[in-house]
Amino acid sequence: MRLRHAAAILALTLAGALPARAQVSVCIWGTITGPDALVNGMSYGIRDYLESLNQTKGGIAGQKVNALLLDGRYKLDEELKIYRRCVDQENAVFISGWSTGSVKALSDQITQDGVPFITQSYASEVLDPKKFPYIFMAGPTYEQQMIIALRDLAAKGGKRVVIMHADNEYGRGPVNVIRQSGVVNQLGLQLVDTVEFRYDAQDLTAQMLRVKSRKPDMVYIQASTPQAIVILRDAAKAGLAGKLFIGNLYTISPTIPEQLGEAAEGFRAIQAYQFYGTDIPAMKQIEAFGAKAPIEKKDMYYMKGWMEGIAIAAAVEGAIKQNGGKVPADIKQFREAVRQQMEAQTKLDDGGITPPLDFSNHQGFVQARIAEVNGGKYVPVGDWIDAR
Amino acid sequence: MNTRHLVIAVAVALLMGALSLAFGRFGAYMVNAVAIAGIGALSLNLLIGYGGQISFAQGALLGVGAYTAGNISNAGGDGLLAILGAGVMGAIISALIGIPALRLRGLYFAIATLAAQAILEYLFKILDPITNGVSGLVIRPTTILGIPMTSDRSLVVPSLVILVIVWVAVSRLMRIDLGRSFLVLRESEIVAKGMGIDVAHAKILAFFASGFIAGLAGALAGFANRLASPEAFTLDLSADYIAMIIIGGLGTWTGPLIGAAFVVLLPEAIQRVGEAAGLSDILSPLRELAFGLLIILFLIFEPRGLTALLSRLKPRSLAVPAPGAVPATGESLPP
Amino acid sequence: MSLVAREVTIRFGGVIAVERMALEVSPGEIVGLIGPNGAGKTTFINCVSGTYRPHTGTVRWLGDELLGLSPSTLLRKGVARTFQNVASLHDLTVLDIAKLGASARKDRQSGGHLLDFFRSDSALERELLEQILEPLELADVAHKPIQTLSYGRRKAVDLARALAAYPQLLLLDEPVAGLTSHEGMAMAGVVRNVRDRLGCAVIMVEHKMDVVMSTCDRIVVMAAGSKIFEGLPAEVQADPEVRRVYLGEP
Repeated sequence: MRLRHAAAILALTLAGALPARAQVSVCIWGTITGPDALVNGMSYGIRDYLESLNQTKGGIAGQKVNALLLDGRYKLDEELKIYRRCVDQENAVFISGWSTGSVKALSDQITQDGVPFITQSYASEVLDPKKFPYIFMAGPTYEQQMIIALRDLAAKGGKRVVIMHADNEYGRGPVNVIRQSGVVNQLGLQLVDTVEFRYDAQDLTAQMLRVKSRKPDMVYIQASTPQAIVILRDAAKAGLAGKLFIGNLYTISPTIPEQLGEAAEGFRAIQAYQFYGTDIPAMKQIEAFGAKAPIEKKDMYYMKGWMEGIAIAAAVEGAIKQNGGKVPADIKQFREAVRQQMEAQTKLDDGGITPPLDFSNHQGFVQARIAEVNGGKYVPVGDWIDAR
Repeated sequence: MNTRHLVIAVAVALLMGALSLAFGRFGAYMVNAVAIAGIGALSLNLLIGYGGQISFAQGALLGVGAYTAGNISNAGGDGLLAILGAGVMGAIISALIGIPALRLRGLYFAIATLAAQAILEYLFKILDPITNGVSGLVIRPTTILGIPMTSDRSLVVPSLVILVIVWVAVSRLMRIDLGRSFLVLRESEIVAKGMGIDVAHAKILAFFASGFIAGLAGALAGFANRLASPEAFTLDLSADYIAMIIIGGLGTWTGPLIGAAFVVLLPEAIQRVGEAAGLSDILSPLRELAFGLLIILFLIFEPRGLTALLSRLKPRSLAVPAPGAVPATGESLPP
Repeated sequence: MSLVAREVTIRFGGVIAVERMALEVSPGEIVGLIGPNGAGKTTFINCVSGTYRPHTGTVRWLGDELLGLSPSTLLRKGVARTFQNVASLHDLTVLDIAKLGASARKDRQSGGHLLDFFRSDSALERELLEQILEPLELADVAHKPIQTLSYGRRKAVDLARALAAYPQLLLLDEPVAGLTSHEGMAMAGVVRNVRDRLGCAVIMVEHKMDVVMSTCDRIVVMAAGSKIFEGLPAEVQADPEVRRVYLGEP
């Protein structure tokens, strides 16, 4: 009898999982709850752009889009589960995925399944159009971001560099690539220390004292906003100025100046997308959308998501048009057509969020600039630099 | 009794197999996840539910299995060899974790297993040649007895076969002298010693057997995920397994599997219900909360878990003994 | 003499619990160990059964030294014991407990547990039912969890466990304490029968004098950790020293 009950639970749960099929389905998973939730704006951005198409144009090429936003919780098994749901049950024609770990674990299967995939992780290993023909990225890799900061220091005559990174793949991977490439020395700089810390560390006072003893001209942070907050807070305690520090793309968050106030002044970070509120055409669309629905995250990551939504929608639209205005009946064909259309985009206008996008090499674009916290706000302090 | 258990185990496996066929790839993945969690929970139930040795290192032990199997398989070994190798490695590491149990008891030992979990997690990160460090070891699709395991559906077969074998083996184990001595050990070491049970021997064997099964589960998890990474085998996973055996019912035969199915499927169920009701934004964060709440409720109202709850719902079940929540042990010797 | 204990002394901190205790028991003999509370009877039994390690002394069984051996080793050498209080063990049936006791008879190498997986124990089950559980009136509850049994029956289960090992030396620690007098006499009868059948030596610590008098072949009286008298049951009652320490007479 017990088993009958168990079976009933199992069956009910799986029955509840029966798919609701739309003709065009895009699946987005991010960290809605979890350690990276502070920088999850792009997940909402993609969804909202696709929703805005549903509202204003009746979807893509006349087809309603089902934009499904799921919570991967930054947990590998959860993300792998969501991937299967997206591919198998939702029949997603495009997937946006989150953590570096999950993208690596799935990289072979993505090829096997032939499903276009945009990664929110900037890990350079999965950016390989030959090996991973279905994986796309929209922005400079972590390594390229680091190089922009290093070049800036060299141009200003600095010398001593400290790199701080978390003790996971996201932290260690790119730092190892930079160290092995010898780029630091090539730029005439000196890497005086590399400090690793626990990803969920809540106190880094000791590490900051060590950093201070190295007398750095610049400290690069390969971590995200939550870690940057701890670093900057404890740096202030140790008497290190905010202007010494520069973080990657995931350290541009209003939360940093909001929480730290004075301690965040002068802190710099890599900016690859226009800020929320900048006077660009895309912002008008966003505001129009925001008039009807609440916008979850008003930050740069949301802009990134909006831009990715534009790219995904354009590829899907191209695939449908190519098929005579109808959605290809076979999902495999549809996905393959979308991949080809994505690659065929070489001068896609995203309303000014980034320079025109070119996905022929799967990376979209590679420029970025440095922004600095000034008066509690991030302000660009340099020109756009090509990071190649 | 044993025949009945065998029949039930096979029937459940067949049912799960049918479900995996009926619900496509996602269904197959979920069935596989339940089977793997079931094997892992059987392992932990053997140790905690039957042997009375609390361990927080289950997550890391699964990791040991995943890394071992991944390395053997990546080196060209057959998947079956990889799974068995993972079992042996899991057993050895588990026995090592159990050594402090010869001196420490109860909560003190539980703390020692916490340390073991932390040490293993650290080793996963630094033993680059074996574990590939923080990047994680990518496990290429394996072949079992020459059959390539490339799809989620193909992996369901070995998982269900192993689940049946482990499930029946645990049932049998509890009917031989060794298993009976675990039960005495759980109630009181003093009593066990007085009865002439070799306590040290029995304890290490409990860890060994439990670790072997954990290794099998870890191997299957590695094949399913195609990646063994330190972030996948943390204390969180240990906590999940403890939740499974508490919710399912500590020291019961069906409990581990019911608990595993519950813990694996509940988040998905909440998610889908939330989506259907248009409340997923609100309900998703509640999943963690729901777990914590459930465990507390079970500990208070039904320490014997879902198994007891279900058998109470069963109309004809009048013959169920009513065991107390706390083992009321009569100490047989003066201190 | 099969069991020869000499000069057994054990202290707990500054308290001398057993001092220079000596005891000899022959096969087939039931020796009653009596004395007031705190005389050191149970402590002495604990020394013989391997639970405590005395500071000095020797305990030899058939010429082998027993001191320093663990209870599990002693059980394999044929030394079994029962306890004053019985544990309530969840999930174990009466038959399970008896089987645990009988497992001492198997001289198993390591890895033998694996063979158990494939071995049927129905023959053992039948034997235990007929030889042990039936005489102790436990056959009808053989498949019941022991926590459902009354205290008296649980004590019988504890005795069954010890007997299932087919011991050569049986140590009984207050086997009838807490039992009704009817139950107590029945238990005593079983002990005699077992002795008759197995020919084992028995040491019985007991307070109930009627049981001791009717069961034991010889009686040893302890007081303050030492032996103060040894003799036949009839002699014990007559001894003035025993009456003084034991019954508190002047």
